[in-house]
Amino acid sequence: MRIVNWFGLIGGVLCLVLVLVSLFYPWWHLSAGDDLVVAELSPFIMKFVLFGTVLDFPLIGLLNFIGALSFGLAGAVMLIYSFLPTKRYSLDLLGFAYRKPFYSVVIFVGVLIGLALVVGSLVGLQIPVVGSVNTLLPSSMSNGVVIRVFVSAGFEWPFWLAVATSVICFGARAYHKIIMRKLSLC
Amino acid sequence: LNKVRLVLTLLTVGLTLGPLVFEVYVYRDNLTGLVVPADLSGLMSGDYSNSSISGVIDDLNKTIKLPEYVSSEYDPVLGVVKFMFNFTNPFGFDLNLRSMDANVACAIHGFALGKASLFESVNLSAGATGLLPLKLVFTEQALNHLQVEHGNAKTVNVDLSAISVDVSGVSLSLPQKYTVNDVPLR
Repeated sequence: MRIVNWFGLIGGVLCLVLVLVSLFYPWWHLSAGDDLVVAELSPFIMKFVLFGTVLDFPLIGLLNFIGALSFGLAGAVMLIYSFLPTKRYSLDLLGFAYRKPFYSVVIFVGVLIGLALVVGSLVGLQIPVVGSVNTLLPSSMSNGVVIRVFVSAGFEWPFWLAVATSVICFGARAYHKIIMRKLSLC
Repeated sequence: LNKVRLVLTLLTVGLTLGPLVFEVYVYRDNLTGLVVPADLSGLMSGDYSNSSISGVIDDLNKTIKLPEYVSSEYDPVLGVVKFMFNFTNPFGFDLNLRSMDANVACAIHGFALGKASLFESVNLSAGATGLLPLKLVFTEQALNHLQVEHGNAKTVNVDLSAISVDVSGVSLSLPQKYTVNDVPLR
């Protein structure tokens, strides 16, 4: 009977699904006012809309593309591994793939927090990572008029899917140890 | 380094460098454009005439004119004054005026007459001019003041202060005082 690392199989499928899903749904969404400013971000796609105008950042788009390719590759490698967990190179395949979703989540959250801090300290605008604030525009931008903008932000369901994928991929690593222990006992 | 690891490493390097080299090649004549979008590069140099968000910046640079007083009418039975203001949306996008409030005081004596409020939200499409209807209900003290101090007058001048506006999720608090002349009292 073929030995399959079920965690790896599910993790691999989820990685591929996540890449596809993230092309259409962001991991994180921010809007200011009645969608006067909108930011939709994920490691694979980024959308900035300023007063109805979509801003295009080629370099970030490129990094998104590379991220999607790397993540997709990790998913494919995880899938291949899950059907070949007893091969001598299986640990190489697993080692290549299982940390990538976790790293993506950690780096993504780190970048969001970093961006919020940078915008806060440079421009003086309070940007929430999660939740909503009535942020006060700096007086230099408002000509003496007190301007408050309702800004809300939060993680969308694909982000939680990414977290679940990370956990399952770590599960695949743990299950690999169990498979190896069983094999050594046989 | 075994063969599997070598292949995975080469794949990763290829997936990262391939698109990067391609993008650099595409932008070889304008490497700045790879990092800063065309929309923003113009803005950074101070020339945004060719930028697609130049319209937005033009809008932002325009001085938003305060609403212009058009007319007012008084209902002596209910003790209600209805002010009509003209407001032009200077922006290239639609605005929704949700609320507008102002403290109203007698311009001569500074006596507080009540609070005027927008009684229905107003949608203003890009560049359009619309009427803002504000309603003021005179307080009992205000009616007494008008009777005692302005008993024979047909009109009264009033000051609108602490004007606050909620437009498309953006709250504005205006420091200026706004005088409305000849508000009918009969």
